[in-house]
Amino acid sequence: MRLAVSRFGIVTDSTSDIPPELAEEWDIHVVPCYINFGTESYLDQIEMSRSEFYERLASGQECPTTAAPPAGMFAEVYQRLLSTASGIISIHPPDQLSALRQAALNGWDLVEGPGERPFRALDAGQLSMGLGWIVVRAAQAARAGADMAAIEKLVADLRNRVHLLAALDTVRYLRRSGRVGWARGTIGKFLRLRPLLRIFQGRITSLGYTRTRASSIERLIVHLRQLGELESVTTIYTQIPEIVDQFHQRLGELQLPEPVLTVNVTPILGTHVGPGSVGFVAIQRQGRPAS
Amino acid sequence: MTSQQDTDRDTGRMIQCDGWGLKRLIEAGLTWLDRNHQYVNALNVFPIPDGDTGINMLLTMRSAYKEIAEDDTNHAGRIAQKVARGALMGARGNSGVILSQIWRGFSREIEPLEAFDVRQFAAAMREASDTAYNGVVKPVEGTILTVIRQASEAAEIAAQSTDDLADAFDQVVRRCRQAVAETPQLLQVLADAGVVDAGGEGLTILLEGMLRLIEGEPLDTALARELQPLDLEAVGAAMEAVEPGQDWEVVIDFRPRWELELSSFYNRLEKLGTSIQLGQGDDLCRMHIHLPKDMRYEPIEFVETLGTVVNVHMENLLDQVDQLRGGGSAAGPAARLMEQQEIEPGQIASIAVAPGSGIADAFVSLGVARVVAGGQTMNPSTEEIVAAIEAVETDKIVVLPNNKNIVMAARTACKVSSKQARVVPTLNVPQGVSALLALEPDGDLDAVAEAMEAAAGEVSAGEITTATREVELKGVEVRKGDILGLADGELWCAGPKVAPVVKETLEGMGTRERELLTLYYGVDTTAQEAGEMADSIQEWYPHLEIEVIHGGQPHYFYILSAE
Repeated sequence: MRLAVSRFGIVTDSTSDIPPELAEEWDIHVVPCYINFGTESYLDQIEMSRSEFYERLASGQECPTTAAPPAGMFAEVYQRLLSTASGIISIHPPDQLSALRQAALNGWDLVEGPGERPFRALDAGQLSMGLGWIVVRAAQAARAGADMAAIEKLVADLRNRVHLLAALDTVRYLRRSGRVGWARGTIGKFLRLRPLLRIFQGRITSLGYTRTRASSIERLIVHLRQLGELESVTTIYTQIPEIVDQFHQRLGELQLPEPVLTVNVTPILGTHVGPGSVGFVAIQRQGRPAS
Repeated sequence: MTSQQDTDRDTGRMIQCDGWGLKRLIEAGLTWLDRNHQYVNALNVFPIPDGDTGINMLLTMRSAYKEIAEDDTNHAGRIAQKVARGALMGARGNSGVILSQIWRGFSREIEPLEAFDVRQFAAAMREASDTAYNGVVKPVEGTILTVIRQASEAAEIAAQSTDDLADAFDQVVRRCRQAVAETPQLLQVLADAGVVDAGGEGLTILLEGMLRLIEGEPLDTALARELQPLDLEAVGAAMEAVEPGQDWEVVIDFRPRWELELSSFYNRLEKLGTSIQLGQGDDLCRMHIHLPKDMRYEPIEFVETLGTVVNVHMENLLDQVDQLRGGGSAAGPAARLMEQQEIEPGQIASIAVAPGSGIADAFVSLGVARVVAGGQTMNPSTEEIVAAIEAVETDKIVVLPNNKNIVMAARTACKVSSKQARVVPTLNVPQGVSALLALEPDGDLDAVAEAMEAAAGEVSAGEITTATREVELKGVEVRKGDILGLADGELWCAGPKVAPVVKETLEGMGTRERELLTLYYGVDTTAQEAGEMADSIQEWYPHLEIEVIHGGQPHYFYILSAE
């Protein structure tokens, strides 16, 4: 039984990749997304584990799709929270990349008797633990008694300081997803082409390509260093842990900050990047201008 | 000049040249040749025949000057005579021998004269040219012979319109420069190697030095030309250049009514187009020319005035280039630029020069905004690169020349363009690909260009081609028809078979330390051959990841890239 009751309920979706223990610790409510393989549909991390997902993604011909949970699922969570919370903050991936925030807003419309209690559905401009850390920070602020305006300000500030960079093993999934314009042109000449991408302030941009895993990791490190002083680094990867070891080894050799956490990323992103990717979420120290 | 008699100081005109004057002219020519002989050597590094043209001509001239160094006679005839003797005694190599013949002819005409004027100069030059031609059993055009002949023609023309020797020298040197530039059109081996004739260039430098003295320009300061030593990449040849606008090839076989007057024949054709060649058989001649589409019938009409046309062959070269690229799209200059994926304004776009259809596709697949066709033997013009830069929908551009010989044109294009354009000086396709991969479209232009250049340096490149001549370079002995392996631009090995040369080249590239090998196979290599080569490479290097790409490049069996 917790003594402190958070004033605001903090909600996100499973694209945030927040590990269950961390979510529990900070009273974060995670609404699962759907993963569809053909006509079969699974709830992310509830009906299908990350490992199962990536194995199936890599082996099969079938191309999974991911779907935002129905508005009703958000409504259910909000409704339940309203019994104790004085308001709700729901934090989601950027609108350019997913319909999740829209589903959350629709969900709020279905909530009965919200009264005067405030609701905000915020665009974190991030995915995976980029989103995850913003949600955790918001939950920590809520626990400390911050008001709605302060939490909104905090999210807006973090949006300018959180960077996600990833080195993909192949361009195949990105191309197939059709989600990223610049990947569309890269049609089938080179088999070995490893894109590097950045997610920052809601945009996915290309950082070019490499042709070997070793040079991918070197390039990631160049970018990590360019970010300057950091509050924390989190390693993100899709399925293959050996790449994480390789990345961590280089970080160690160069005496760069040790990652505070390592997560196997959301299938929502994984569908588009494929297995064998590695990257990081870095939070720049406060007061640093956005790069 | 101060020592000439009859020099009109107010106008700078030079009516006569005496012995002192001639001596100073020769001294100036020698000094200038000394300054620039390495450039002449560089022209002749490959193809080999008589190796060091520059040094041979310089030694010949030094020997010639030694005869007059201590002589202070003011008799032009005596100076010329002594120089001719000195040149003859000290002549080295073919070009030295011809140079000594030139002096012999010149002095024969000047001999009785204390001083010579324009008309006497022209006559001496004519005699010099004739003597040079007579000294060679089988004169070849496109050499120093062509240059001295054209020089003498220019002198004769000048003599009809001026009595100023300075003026005549100026016209002679101009004509020489033009004649040198045209030597590749007359001599296929020069075109193949992508050079102008070294001997002709040496003679031009000699006369240029004299002109510089007359015009009061320094002889000891800067080099006249930038030194650009050739390397063995110039080996492959045959593919003809398609110059902008010169997109039709016309070949006419004809039977001339009388013997052709070659210089007027060439003069006429030069007004129409480029890449002019004439082959003469017993009674049949074949001419070849590249020209613009709307002029393609004119050579036929012209040749009909000379004799009977037997056969005409016409071909659209642009279409050939397109076919080569697997394209075959609409003709016209725009067809050389391929349309690529959209770039948002404000982003950085790239332009790559590609030597083959498959390589062009590869660049396109990596997101270049425009491909300009070109490579070793078909260098795109500055104009074409500028056109590509201007055509891209953003004003931040990075140009990848992908060939040593195209870097300069790319730099000029970037300067000329109104856009912010940077050259990443990639020397081959692997470097170009590697640089392109590092392109961050949303980055800062200079930082991105820098990162791209760094990425270009991370890849090892190998090139496998055929030797067109015999050569020994850096301890590697090459026979004509041998397969050559170049590792990072340097001749590494040679041999009669492709596979062993590939194997050795891979070693030269340090492949053992690498992770991924990309094999771009050329237009003369089949997919099956490339596959078999990849299998062999896999046996030699089991750890290596290998990728086989259809490059479609001419001249090179394989381009290898190790990362």
